[in-house]
Amino acid sequence: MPRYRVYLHIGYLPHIKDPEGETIRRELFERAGIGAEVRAGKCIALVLEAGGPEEAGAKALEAAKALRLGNPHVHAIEVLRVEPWS
Amino acid sequence: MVVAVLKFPGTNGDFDVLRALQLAGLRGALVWHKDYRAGAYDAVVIAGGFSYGDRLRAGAIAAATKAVEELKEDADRGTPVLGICNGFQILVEAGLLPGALLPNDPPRFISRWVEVSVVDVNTPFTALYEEGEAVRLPVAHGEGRYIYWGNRPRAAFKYLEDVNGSAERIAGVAKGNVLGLMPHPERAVDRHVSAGGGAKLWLSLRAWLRT
Repeated sequence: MPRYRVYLHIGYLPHIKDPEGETIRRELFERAGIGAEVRAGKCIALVLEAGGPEEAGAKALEAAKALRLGNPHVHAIEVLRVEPWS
Repeated sequence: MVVAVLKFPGTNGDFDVLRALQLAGLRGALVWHKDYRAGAYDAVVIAGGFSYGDRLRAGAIAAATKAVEELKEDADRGTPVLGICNGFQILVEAGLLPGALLPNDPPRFISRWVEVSVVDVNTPFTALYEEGEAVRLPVAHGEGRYIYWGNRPRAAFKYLEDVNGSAERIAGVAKGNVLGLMPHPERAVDRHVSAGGGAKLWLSLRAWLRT
């Protein structure tokens, strides 16, 4: 079975305050004169076997939720990218 | 009577807890998480520290261990369970206590003495305090911003000032006989380094276990 690398993003839900993102925005972006909203998060890359890229993404997401890689009341988990992995 | 002091890789408050128990006249036993069995102890303390290096989120990995599964059985049968700092984070991650503990706001590690108010004296760990009693305890954490959703939790301790951005300045939460708090009562028992504000917590447990 082919292997895929799946990048998962674990970020705060929109209503959850993100002090790390606020600090990055205020102390780096604002100081540099770059207007941007910033949200901090975590990226986790998994390599797993699947029948295709869609299945790989779905498997990774299902596992991430089952293993509570994010707290469902606090975090959103999404698949950022799936790529073939040899 | 034996109080288990549960230790994970990265726990570092265990010896302070053992000493606090000893000063209160209780027998503590250091228990490595792989050796923990439900039903073997009269009370359990999850000491503070950085279990599993705070990987993923503080307390998240320890919360998924077999020891915490066994701990849930103990909590269900009414065994007093106390989580201090990282222990509180583990209890919340495991769903033994409601809510979540997020990175401090503002985002920085806080290590200092704070004043808290004891708002619930109906737990095995707070019965000897007066309701509303102000106690000086040290905090040392980076992820202590308590939030909750749904029903209001049973707050047991509240900060007298905003320390880390916690909702309603909540410093500790109780559910049944389970209590979690961010401040360190085990570091406030020796008179030569503190005002002794944590002593009543351990004496409360002794009194509870003897009744």
